[in-house]
Amino acid sequence: MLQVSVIGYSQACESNSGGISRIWVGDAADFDLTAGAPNAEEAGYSAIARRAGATHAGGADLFEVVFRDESGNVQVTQSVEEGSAQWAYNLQASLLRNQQIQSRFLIKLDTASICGQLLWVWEDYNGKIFMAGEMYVGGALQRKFKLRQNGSVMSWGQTLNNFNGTNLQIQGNYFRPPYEFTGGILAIQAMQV
Amino acid sequence: MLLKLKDEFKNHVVGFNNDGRPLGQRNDLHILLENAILTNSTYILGMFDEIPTLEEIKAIREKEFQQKQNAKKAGRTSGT
Repeated sequence: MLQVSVIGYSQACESNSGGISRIWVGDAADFDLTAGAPNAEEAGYSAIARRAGATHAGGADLFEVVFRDESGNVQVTQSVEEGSAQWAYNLQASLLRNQQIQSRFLIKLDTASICGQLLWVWEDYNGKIFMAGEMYVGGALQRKFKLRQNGSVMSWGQTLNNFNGTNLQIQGNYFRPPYEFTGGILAIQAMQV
Repeated sequence: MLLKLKDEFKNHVVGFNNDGRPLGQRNDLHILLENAILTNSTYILGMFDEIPTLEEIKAIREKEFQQKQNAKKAGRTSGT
C-alpha cells in the first residue's frame, strides 16, 4: 500500500484443464474492443465490434485456424532485463496437409505482419477466451502489438504415418500478458466468417 | 429512459454478453452502454443518439431484475 498496490491471487472452486480449443486470426485494424469496467487491466475486454468501414462483405472477419487436435499451445514468458519487463508470446499449432491453400495462408501471415497487425484470439478448455495483437480499444489506438509468423516449419515426413503439414509458430513481444475477452463465445462467432 | 440507437447502427453487430445479434435486436444495450460509459469507449458511445446517465442505467437494471423476479413468482404460482 505505501509503495505499490499489491493484490493476491486465488481461483474459484472450479475445475481446470490445459490445451487450446480454437484459434482465430484477423486484421487488428478491423476490430474495436470495449474494455470491461473499470478498465481492461482489471476486467479484460467485454465487447468486440467491427470498426467503421470494416464489413463482413469486405472480409473483415475473424478466421478460424483449424489445427490438429491437441497441437495448439500458447506460451507467454515474462522476463526482466536492464530494469525493463517483457512478455514474449509464442503461439504454436500443427496445420495438417500441405497444400496450396495452406501455402497461401502462410504467405498471407508473412505479408500481414509487414503491412499491418494481426489480432490473434484463442479459446482454452476452461472456456476462457484471450486476445493478443489488439489495435483499438474504446476507439483509441493502442501501443503497437505485433505478432508475426516466425519459425514455422513445413514438413512432408518420411513414412506414411509421419506428419504432413506445417508446425505454425507465431511470435511477438509486448509489455504485458494477454487480456481475457469476457464477451462470450457467441460474440466471437458473430465476428467469424 | 429508452436507449436510442442511431438508425445507421441498428444492423451493426457488437458482440457482448455472449450474444452476437445486431444491435437493433438486442434488449441488453444497457450492459454495453454501461461499460462504454465507464471506460469512455468513444466508438460505442458514438452509436447512440443520447447517452443515459449511470443512474438511468441502474434503473433499467433494477427494472429488468424485478421483471425476472415477477416471472419466477408467476411460474411458481402457476405450478401449485
